[in-house]
Amino acid sequence: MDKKTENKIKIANAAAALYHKDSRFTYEDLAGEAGLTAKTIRSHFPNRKEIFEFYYEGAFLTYRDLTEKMEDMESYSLAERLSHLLLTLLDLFHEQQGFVEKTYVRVIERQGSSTPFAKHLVHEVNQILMDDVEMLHIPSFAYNKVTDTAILYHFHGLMRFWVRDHSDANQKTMELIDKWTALAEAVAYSKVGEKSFDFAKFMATNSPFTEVVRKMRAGLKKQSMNRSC
Amino acid sequence: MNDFPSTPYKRGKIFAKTGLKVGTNYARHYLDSLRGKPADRASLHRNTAEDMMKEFTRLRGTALKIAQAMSIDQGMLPEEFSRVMSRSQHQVPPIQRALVRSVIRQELGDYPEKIFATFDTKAFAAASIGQVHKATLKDGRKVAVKIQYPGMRETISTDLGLAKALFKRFVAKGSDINPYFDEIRETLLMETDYRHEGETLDRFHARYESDQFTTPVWIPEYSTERVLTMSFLEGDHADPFLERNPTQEERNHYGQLLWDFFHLQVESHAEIHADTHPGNFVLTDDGRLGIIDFGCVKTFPADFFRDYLMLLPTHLKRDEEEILKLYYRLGVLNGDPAKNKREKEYYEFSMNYGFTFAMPYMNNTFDFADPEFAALLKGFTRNVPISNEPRGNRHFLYSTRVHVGLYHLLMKLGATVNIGESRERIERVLLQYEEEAIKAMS
Repeated sequence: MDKKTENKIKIANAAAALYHKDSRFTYEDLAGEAGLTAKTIRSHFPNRKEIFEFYYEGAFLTYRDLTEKMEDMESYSLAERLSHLLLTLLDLFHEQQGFVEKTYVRVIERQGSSTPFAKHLVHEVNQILMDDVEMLHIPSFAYNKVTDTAILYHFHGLMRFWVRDHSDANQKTMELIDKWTALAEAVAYSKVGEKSFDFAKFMATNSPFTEVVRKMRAGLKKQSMNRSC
Repeated sequence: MNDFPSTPYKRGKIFAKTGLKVGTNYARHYLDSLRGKPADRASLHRNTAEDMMKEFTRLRGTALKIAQAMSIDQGMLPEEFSRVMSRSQHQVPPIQRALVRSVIRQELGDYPEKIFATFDTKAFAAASIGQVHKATLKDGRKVAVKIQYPGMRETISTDLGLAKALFKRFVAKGSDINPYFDEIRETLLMETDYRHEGETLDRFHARYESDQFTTPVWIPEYSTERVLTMSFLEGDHADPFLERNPTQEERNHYGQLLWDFFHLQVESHAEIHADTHPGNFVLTDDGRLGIIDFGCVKTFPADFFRDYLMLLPTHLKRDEEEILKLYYRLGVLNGDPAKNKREKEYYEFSMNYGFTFAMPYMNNTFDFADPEFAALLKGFTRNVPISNEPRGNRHFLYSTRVHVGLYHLLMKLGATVNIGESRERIERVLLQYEEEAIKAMS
């Protein structure tokens, strides 16, 4: 990770900590918290919204940095790699839980797939799935936009679970991730994936509901456009 | 006072053999009495056990613990069942590596590579509700880090509820299995607090660390409720030790240490390491017995413990009057064996089994390699007269587990053990109880 990114992450973390105490903090407050000048901060982030958005991207970049340093990652199973991604992100979010609880829905969830965080996340999950030798029988173009949306929705769901998890040390979220990724692995390794793809491919062109689906998609698109406005 | 008879070993053997025959007869009688019923009960038991096994393995650690407790106390369940159950030991799925990392971070503040100088992400041993990893501290100390599966406390409660429902289908109508399940629940919940285990480690270390025994040192700075860090004991478990073809002298040496460790605990009558299986003992290179895993340590109530220990001398003397009293107090009998046929079956079986069980205490040495003794014990556990009705004080669950576990380990080692001192220890404990009782009365 380069120095610039490191600095940006440092600022974003300081902003998150500050936001939890007082959401209306100024650049000067942040400069004091981060131990940098307000000018430096402004050079990285022209406005507060960008800082908040970068907090999430920064978490992902930290995850990637950590993962690159891990020697045994090669031997991780599909479930372990997926768990590693989700658990590491939540470990990082845990440090700024107050901020994440207040901002996740607004800064990430409502922005659909447009944020750098969402893009990284979707790309990483796809990468993990594609890297897996066991998955070779599923063609890469099977992962289309629908899959990407599904990945995001699952992650949003996980975040909602985590926010509501009052168990000691978030044990329930850990259990959920463990069980969910084990299930995902089992599904991926079974023929269900292959057969579903085969079936979906056929139905995509032959379904009597094609028209309905098309309308639904159009509706969804309109909805998400309204949201981002 | 001398509670132990000094009758010749030979006589004991003959008596025990008769006992075996009686046991077998009752078993046959039991089977005969089942004949003519619409379904073949024995195969029904086997099928039920297989079915339950499948459901059970899904219960992870809880299943393992119940299986361990029940499979040793075979008097409670038919053999088919115990046999199937004991398989569950090998079927606890490991905690995946990503989760291990995050648990360490949640509990100790950072990822293992930051906290430890080295950390082996693959567990080297499975614990019932977690697993153990090898690691090195930054100061160079070799440690074992035990990690608990997240959410274990709640899982145990849910699992026990399910397990109880399964068991109810299996045991005789009207039998009360609640006390046994309460006992398992209490023990399991206690095991989920690793700080409790850490404190136990401290006490055992203070009590037993010597040129004969060694126990791990708790490292509280690296421990929490769900992570337990302790010094790593180098040495072999029983199986690798035996693979090296040790001399009889070596076998006897370790056997004696195991025997003495048990009786030292009995004499201290404070706490007893209640998880006597080969995986929890290490034979160190410097000739000491290493004891690990202090999750399951029991303190038995004085009343029960006195009665339990009294079973040994009373059976050896065949003091039927006293035995009968003990059986009533310990819940082995629910009625008068002279009037009730079923109680009589229990009485005669228990008495013969009890005698066999007490046999090692008869002379000054006992050879656990004696195939006849092994056959006798096996014969009894196979021929429990009426098998699907739980009986006996709930504390039997763990007291017999320790005691039978010890016998099995010694038989596995093929050790000859000196008994004299341990007999004196038990006598001293019994005498102490007697004095306390007299004091309480006056």
